[in-house]
Amino acid sequence: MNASTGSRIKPFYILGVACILIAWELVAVRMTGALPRLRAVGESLLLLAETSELGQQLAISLHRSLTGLTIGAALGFFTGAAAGFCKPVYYLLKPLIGILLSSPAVVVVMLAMVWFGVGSSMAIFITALFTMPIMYVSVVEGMELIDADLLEMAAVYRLSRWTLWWSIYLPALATAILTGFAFAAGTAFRKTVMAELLGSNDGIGFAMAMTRFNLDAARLFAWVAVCLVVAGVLEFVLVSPVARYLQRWRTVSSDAGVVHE
Amino acid sequence: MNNWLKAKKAMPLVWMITGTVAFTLAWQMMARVYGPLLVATPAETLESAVRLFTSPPAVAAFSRTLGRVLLALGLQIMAGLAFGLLAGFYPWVEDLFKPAVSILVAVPPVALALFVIFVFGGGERQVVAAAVALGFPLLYGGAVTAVRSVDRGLLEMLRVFRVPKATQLLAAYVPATLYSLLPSILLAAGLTVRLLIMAEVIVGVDRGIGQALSQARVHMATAEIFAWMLVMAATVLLIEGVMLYLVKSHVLAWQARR
Amino acid sequence: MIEFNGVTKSFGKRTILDSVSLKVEEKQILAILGPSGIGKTTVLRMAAGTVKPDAGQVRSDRQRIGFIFQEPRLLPWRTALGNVTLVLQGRGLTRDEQVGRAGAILKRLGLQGFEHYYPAHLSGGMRQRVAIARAFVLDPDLALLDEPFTGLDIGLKLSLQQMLLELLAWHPCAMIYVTHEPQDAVLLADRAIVLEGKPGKIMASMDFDRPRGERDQSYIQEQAAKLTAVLTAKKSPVGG
Ligand SMILES: Nc1ncnc2c1ncn2[C@@H]1O[C@H](COP(=O)(O)OP(=O)(O)OP(=O)(O)O)[C@@H](O)[C@H]1O
Ligand SMILES: [Mg+2]
Repeated sequence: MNASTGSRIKPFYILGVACILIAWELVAVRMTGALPRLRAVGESLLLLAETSELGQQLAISLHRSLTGLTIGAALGFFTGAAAGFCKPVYYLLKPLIGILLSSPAVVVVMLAMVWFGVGSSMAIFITALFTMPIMYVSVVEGMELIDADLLEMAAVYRLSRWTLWWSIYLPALATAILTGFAFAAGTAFRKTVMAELLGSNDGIGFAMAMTRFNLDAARLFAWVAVCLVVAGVLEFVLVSPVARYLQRWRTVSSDAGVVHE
Repeated sequence: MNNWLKAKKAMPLVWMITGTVAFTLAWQMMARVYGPLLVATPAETLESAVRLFTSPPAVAAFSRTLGRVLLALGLQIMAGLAFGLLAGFYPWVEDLFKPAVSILVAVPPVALALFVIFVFGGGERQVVAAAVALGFPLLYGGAVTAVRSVDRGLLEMLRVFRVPKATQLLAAYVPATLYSLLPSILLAAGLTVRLLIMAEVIVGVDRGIGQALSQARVHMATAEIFAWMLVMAATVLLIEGVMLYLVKSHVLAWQARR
Repeated sequence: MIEFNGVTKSFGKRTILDSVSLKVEEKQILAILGPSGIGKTTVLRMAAGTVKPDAGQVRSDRQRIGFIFQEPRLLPWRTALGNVTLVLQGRGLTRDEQVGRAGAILKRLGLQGFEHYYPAHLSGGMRQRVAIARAFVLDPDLALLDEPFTGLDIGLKLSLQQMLLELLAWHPCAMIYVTHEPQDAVLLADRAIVLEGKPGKIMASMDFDRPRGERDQSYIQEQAAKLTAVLTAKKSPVGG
């Protein structure tokens, strides 16, 4: 059933897109100044592309979010695996993870700006810090899943240590890493943009902040469109293939990424 | 079925204490190494937190933000449930909403906050609206999945006995959806706190934790920022705890006892 | 009351039932027997109208259906009483009348004192009784029973069967009763049909002429033995 609905062209989806665009235009026409016309946004986008500002800022932001993601995902994986194998580590990390998961990123950015100053290292730090718990939680949960069902079976059938690793731990860990990474990737870019918006001299976030001072709404929405494209590409190449792959034995919400603001 | 209720079980007290102590020690060491301007010590933070709760403006800011959080959370739950039910019943409604929801998920929250300022200006209502919009996809998506997974046998039963549609909705769909939505609602509580404060900081609304934080930053009052973080973590825990308590007593009424 | 006319039903490519014809008169009870997976539940669902036949017609002039599913299918968040009043909703009864009727039938089924228990806190047999109460509380003119006593201990089964007979005496209605037990069929039904084969067809049909009240142990044994012989022997289809 999924296969057929997945490939079918959905008229109401297109209608949904049309509704957004039409509503946008209507509001833009009635509230001149506040909301730019779509055309203006498109022109801004073209201008960004022509002046190569688009490429420059995008490269900076992507570089930061990738670096942050790599660090954060690696940290999250190792701490998660440690916590999964060894309960004490889990409880030791619990307060830290709890604080991280309940702190608004803006607040941490304020602190990070004091620690690292304004710039790349701050943005990378924030990105790493907020992707780490996602990977961590994913790995810990993945390992918990093993505990529950399969280890008992392994004990009953007296599987060898080698088989245990090869056919139980590794597949489960691979699944957890894949899910965690897919969701962390989407978060990484959003976090980088936020960090840049509050404290950086370059990058997409900074460019967005500038539009606020220049009162250039069209340019803001052009940047938002760029963000949407990045998110869309990520979804297309990473999140939905992973979700589809996992759907075979586990239900994965493709919205899980929104849990982390 | 109720794994999440079990997962929220209290962890062993010994480990909780050890964890907290170890965390505090590590924090203390960091503070020693980097100095009070960069990292406030745990003692300073606690002191600052106590000061917050004895200073009327801080308490006012806190209650103001808490009020907004609760309002946003309530609106989110209602909107998520209403639209989620609708989209769960009618796939075409889901298709229709899909682009908007995808945008809300994909757009960096700060960008949406900027959007709000541009289009609607700053203000309390705008801040709450931004938080609701950003938190909406979580509960909406949860509700759609929940509606689709309502026990088919029960639905056939309702149809066979010709139970009126309104009763079907209230007696079967809403409880079933709400129940499987509960874990998401708990997640949404923490999410809303974070989103709302983000919106307060970016939009720059009067009175509230967001403003208090911005001021603390301007004054380089590190201890105060730390204290607010602690307060927020505690608030999230508290909201979750209260909801879990309410839910548990209610849900456990009809669940099997172990 | 209800009539199947050359009904054929497939799920996907697999044909489950092939030209099944049967007729149940008012206040008549039909038992359906046959191996697991043959399509008995599917017949009941078509009688209830929740599944449509691919070919042939299902005609009925039923007003109210009482369905006892293979599983209790109670709303877990409603008490026993709440589950029974659920089906009285929207039938122009006041809340008090609903509670009165539901309470009366629960009491008849020996559930007095358990009205305010949630399904999770009732035993399997009690849940089944709630499901029976729910099916009969709205005075159905057609009752559909899908192996209502499977998996219960023999004592409970006998007493529930007794209750069912009482309910029927109290309020007679047409009934289709799916069971695996020849004895049960003889005890309750006016007529029994046997589904068999791939796809399922009516392979045999038997009438029990003696009035229900006068069926003694020997009659039941004798007829059940006949029915068992039919069930175990492979026959060619009979015309419906
Ligand atoms: N919704 C459905 N979709 C696909 N196949 C179905 C569906 N419902 C029933 N079937 C198939 O139809 C056949 C008959 O099912 P049915 O439930 O009617 O059997 P049954 O005679 O009641 O069996 P049992 O005695 O085990 O309850 C089965 O092989 C089953 O796999
Ligand atoms: Mg069946």
